[in-house]
Amino acid sequence: MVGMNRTEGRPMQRRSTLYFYYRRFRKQLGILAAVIGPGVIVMVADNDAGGITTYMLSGAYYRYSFIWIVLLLGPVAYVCQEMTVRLGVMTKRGHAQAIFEAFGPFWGWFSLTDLTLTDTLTITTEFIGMTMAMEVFGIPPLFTEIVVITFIMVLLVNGRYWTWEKIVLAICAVNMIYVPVVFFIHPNVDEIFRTGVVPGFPEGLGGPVIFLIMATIGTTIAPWMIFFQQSSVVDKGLRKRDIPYARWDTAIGSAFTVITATALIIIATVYFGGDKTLGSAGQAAALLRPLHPYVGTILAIGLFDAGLIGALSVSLASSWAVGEVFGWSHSLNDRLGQARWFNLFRLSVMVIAGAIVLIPGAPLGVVTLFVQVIAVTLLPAALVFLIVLLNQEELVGAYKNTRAQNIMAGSIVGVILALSTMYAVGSIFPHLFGG
Amino acid sequence: MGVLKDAAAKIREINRTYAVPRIRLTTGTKVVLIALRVYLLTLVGLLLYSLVTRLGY
Repeated sequence: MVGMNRTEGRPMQRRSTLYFYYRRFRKQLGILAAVIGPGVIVMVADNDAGGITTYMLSGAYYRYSFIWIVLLLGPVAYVCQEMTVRLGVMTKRGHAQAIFEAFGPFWGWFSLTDLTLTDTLTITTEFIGMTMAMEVFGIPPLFTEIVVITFIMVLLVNGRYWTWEKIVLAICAVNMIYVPVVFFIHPNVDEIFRTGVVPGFPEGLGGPVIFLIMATIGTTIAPWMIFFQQSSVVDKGLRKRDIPYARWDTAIGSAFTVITATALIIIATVYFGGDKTLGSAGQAAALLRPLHPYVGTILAIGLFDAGLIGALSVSLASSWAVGEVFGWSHSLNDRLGQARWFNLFRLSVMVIAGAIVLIPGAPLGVVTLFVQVIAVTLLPAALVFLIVLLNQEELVGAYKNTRAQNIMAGSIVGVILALSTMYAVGSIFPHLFGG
Repeated sequence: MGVLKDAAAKIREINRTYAVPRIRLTTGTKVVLIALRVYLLTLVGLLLYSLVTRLGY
């Protein structure tokens, strides 16, 4: 800069500073693109077939009044899932193995058995959703199930976590199919802000309202999600330096969940607002298709996609957990034959779940109800274990929970424990809540 | 039979491997875990009762 005065040098310096920030931002974006996956997948899979039905019903029954609950549950889900990232990275253990090691066989077997049972029943509900969605297009349930199970297993043939993750992320993108619909159906924006964003219960806090709130919480924060993300972080091989990016991954996923759920509530309100006879998202798609072909078709495609992401992720959560504990080869980086028992277990869970759906006269209503209740029994335990483990300095070092994180997570567990107990007891004895 | 025997042996091995908890539990944590155990046993009991009565009809 010889011969250049200070005023002439400033724009040059500003440009180089800007360029430095631009390069740094690009580099960080590149790392984020590589790390992104477990958080987005787990959060999008959260809007599975059961979740889609829950959001549709809340919109149909209570119009926009559940939007604020969904907005609130986004950060809550983030707080819970972010802890699994730190625990997975620092211990290099899945959640099931971490529970066995830290708390012994009683809690280990309890968690593993409950998780496997819940996951099998959850996959049943995913198959119910997928078969209902495809029946809208005239495709028989057996054909849908065979194609889905084959597709899920074929995804593993390649034997690369990276490939599997990118394909699943593409499937996750389809879950956002509901969002553009909102812009074409002209919802009442004033009513959305007045009754949806401002907290309140238009019909009071009793009977079916509390039941649907609990179902919404149950579908947003589920035990399998904790097991899935921790194992996924380990299988992907994330390291300490990836933790900030993995947090972004979880936050982005959480935003996707909230946006999709809100879009579904809006769609349900526009087409079914006030109709308390609607029973499921599949029924909504079938009813809408003759009247509004595009919306009906999108609902059916979205429901199938949600069920597929759910089946893909939930089946992995329990297979990873069982694989870790039994010492089987359980990585998605292993080829089909290498991880024989892991893949066989996953296939068996899906075949059993698929078979339940096909049994003529099977009590699918009871299955759908009990899947939530059994999940509820595992959720408080899984969250308590998570908090206890995240307070062990010898396990997670500098990444242990801060006091603020403990207060936040503890409050969430307290509220979930109270609500989930009410939900479980209300499911078992419906007359208690006027159901 | 052989498969069942192998599975039982594997389960016994897992129980032995994880017999002793590997973290230091404070008294507070121990109390929380006992409370959790009671809570879960009650809930599972109610659940089984409900399942049996529902499927019975």
